Amino acid sequence: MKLCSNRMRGSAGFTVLEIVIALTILAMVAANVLMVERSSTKAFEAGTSMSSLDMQLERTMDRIALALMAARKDSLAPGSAAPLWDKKVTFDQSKGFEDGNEVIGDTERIELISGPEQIVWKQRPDTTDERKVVWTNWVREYFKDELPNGVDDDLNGLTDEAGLSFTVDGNRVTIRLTLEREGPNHTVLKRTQETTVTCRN
Amino acid sequence: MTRCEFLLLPPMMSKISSGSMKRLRAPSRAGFSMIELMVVLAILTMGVSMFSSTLVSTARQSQAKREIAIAAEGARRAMELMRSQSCEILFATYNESSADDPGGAGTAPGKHFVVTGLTLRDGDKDGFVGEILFPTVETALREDVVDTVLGMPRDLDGDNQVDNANHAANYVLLPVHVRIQWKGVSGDVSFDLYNQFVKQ
Amino acid sequence: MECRVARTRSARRGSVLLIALMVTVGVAMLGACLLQFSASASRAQLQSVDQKRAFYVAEAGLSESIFGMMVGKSGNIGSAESPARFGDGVLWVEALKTEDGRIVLESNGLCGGGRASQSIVVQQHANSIASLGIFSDGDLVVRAGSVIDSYDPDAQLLAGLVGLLPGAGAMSSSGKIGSNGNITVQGAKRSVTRIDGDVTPGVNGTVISSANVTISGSTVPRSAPVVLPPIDVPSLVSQGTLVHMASQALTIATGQHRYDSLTVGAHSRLVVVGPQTMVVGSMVLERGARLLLDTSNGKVDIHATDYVSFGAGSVIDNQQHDPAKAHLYISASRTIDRNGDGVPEAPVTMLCTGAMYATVYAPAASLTLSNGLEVFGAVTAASLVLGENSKLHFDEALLVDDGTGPDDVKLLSWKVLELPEVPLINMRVDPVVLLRLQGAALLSPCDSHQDVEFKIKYISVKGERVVWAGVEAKFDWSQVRSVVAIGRLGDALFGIL
Repeated sequence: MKLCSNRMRGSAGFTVLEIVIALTILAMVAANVLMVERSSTKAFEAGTSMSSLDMQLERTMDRIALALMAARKDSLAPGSAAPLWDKKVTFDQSKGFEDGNEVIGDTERIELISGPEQIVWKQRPDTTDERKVVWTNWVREYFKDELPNGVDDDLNGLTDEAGLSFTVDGNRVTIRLTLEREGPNHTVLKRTQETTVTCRN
Repeated sequence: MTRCEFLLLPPMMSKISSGSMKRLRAPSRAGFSMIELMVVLAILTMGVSMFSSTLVSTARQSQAKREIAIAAEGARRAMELMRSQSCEILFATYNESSADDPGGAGTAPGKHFVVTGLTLRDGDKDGFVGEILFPTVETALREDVVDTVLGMPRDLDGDNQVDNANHAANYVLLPVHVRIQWKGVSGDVSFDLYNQFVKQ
Repeated sequence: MECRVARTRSARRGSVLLIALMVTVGVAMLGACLLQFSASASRAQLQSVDQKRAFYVAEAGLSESIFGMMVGKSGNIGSAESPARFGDGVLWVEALKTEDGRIVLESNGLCGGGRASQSIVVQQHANSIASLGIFSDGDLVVRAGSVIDSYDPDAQLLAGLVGLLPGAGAMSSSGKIGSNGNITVQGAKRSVTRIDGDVTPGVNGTVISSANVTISGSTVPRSAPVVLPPIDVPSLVSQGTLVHMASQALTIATGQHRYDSLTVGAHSRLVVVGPQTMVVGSMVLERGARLLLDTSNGKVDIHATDYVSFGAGSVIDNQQHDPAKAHLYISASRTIDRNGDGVPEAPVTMLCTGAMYATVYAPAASLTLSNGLEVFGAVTAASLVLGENSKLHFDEALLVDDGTGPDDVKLLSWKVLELPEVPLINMRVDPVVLLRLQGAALLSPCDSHQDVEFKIKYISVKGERVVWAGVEAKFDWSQVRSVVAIGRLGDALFGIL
């Protein structure tokens, strides 16, 4: 209470000015902070969407690669060789041996379906018992910089290839994958990966 | 500074020193808020600058991560290409020498390979970021090479002995090191993948 | 009242700082959020990278295991408790024998935060050398009028004879003839050459066949060259030279014998009774001499190290007609002048006639079989010429493994495995760092081959026959030149050795 009475003395004249200056500076600071925050939020969002796109790309590619590594090379269909390509691949995998006979797993298919574009994995496709899992929704309709114009735009030897395409060369399968998604402010984020795997069975 | 001290002092201390402060502070009261604001501004600036530096470093880090992902994919691709071929020809196909290429001299891809999306290091003479390494002394595939990461020295031709002969023609097991070296956003980086192939 | 105003003012004075602090805390929290997100994103990305590294470490483990099996080891590498170090991770492999004789290898690779398990099914073939059939390491020539087919001794029926009957040739389809080089098959109008079965040249070789040749099987080259295993000559004490010229038969009783040279004079008879292991420096059968192999009680193995000469009209007779019980191992390889006439002699001359029931293995010598010789069994040589009108019948019983041939491991199936529940895998930390902290040895893969108790019979680098028993991990493999037999706890061989 002693402190309280001490302060009171002679302070009345400064209050308004003090408040005005304080408020002005505070307003400036607040505005600044808000601006920084907004821009950083934007950057954060962009970073987030890019990161999750990267993650999705890695994960989808790893899943496809691993599925095809275990595939039997004789079962790959349609298995076109470059410059032809397919947007789907049907295969089966060896599951080991039982009672002296090789056990072959169910037929599986990895496919890019359109409207809207999705990459799906199907177990026992084209049967009544079909099981379908969507691996990603962010796939691009065409690969990388490819346009549907009958020309090999990205000069990789394939014409008008889709966002997911397979080419087969002996026991090797080359997988080309482009994912895309909407970023902040209606930008479009795009990522591409290409890899080759060897069928081990 | 005084104001600051006052604010930061614990209640007991401020009570004790309040007598002397009264005299000092009374004439310059308008400045207190300014100092206060300066301190606030300083704190805010620090906070914001820290935040923005975090942003920058995060962006750089994610770029570095992306580079590593590209390198890993490139290395896997090289490994899978080797896996698809018969083990007998791997050494001749991917070693430094082009004279022993299985399809005739100069026909094999050799030691180096391209990884698109990565920048060459300064002073990289061969012009490729990727390379495939075997346990060799010059061009000879040797069992007595010391390289713990590849499990060397060790027997490679299945005779249970480690000798100093060239086993390029009769190896049964072939240790492989795929190395990618590039110039990243924050310095030189390298990525390594190791494997062994066996004749069947 | 005064006091209340003062109190509000004093409260307001602190409030600017409070707001600033709150804003700073807010910004800091936002920053922390971003940092955490990017950290988790990068962790996920690094996880994917580590996963790739672990995958290939596991694959390296499988290769190591196959390599071990090829030289006679079990295929077990390290263990979950003490894995082997490879690349920038660790690995261990378990080999499990299935009831149907296949082996399942399960390999685990750990690298950083990545973990991968793969499993393959392999078939291990310890071949008999005789299973190669008619085989030449170099080029092989089949002269006109020859017949090559196979027969099933159990059916007591010559498939070759059945093949002559129309519509009954199915049984004779597996005559085996092959080489690591080219194969030339000649034919003539009067003497047609007939091969019932596959003719398999070397990887880069071809089959050159002329007119009047019929080959019923495939002529596709082999995918990998055949490595002929070296001969292990037993070390026995020499009993000097043996020259038998008398007209009555001489019998060498069952047991182990070594002669610097063995000569059977013209039209003399020598009987060798099995079980028998005989080592001879030079082996000479003069004109019309007869060598009788009595295999009714066991195998007869004859090793010729320097020189073999079977003169014209000599006969090698196996009373039981079982080529699996009569082996002629010829390690002779030098072509030098032996009789002082200035003309060098080949290490092997075979002018014998009639029917020979035996397995002849001469990996270092060129061999020319005399015209008209009929062989029931198998013949392997560095290079081989089958004389005119020779008949070779491959005995299908020789396909049964007797442990003498090269081991091969064939990959049958590959798949990704679920990660096993072991502490090292469940802890998502860098295994190399963790194991170092625990003071683990972290041996290289080639030093991590191990198994339970086993017994091994081998030829040492010094050429001695050694039997060793104990824990496999303690066995010094560098002493081994070649393995004779291995028995592991639970195997039938373990009890026998």
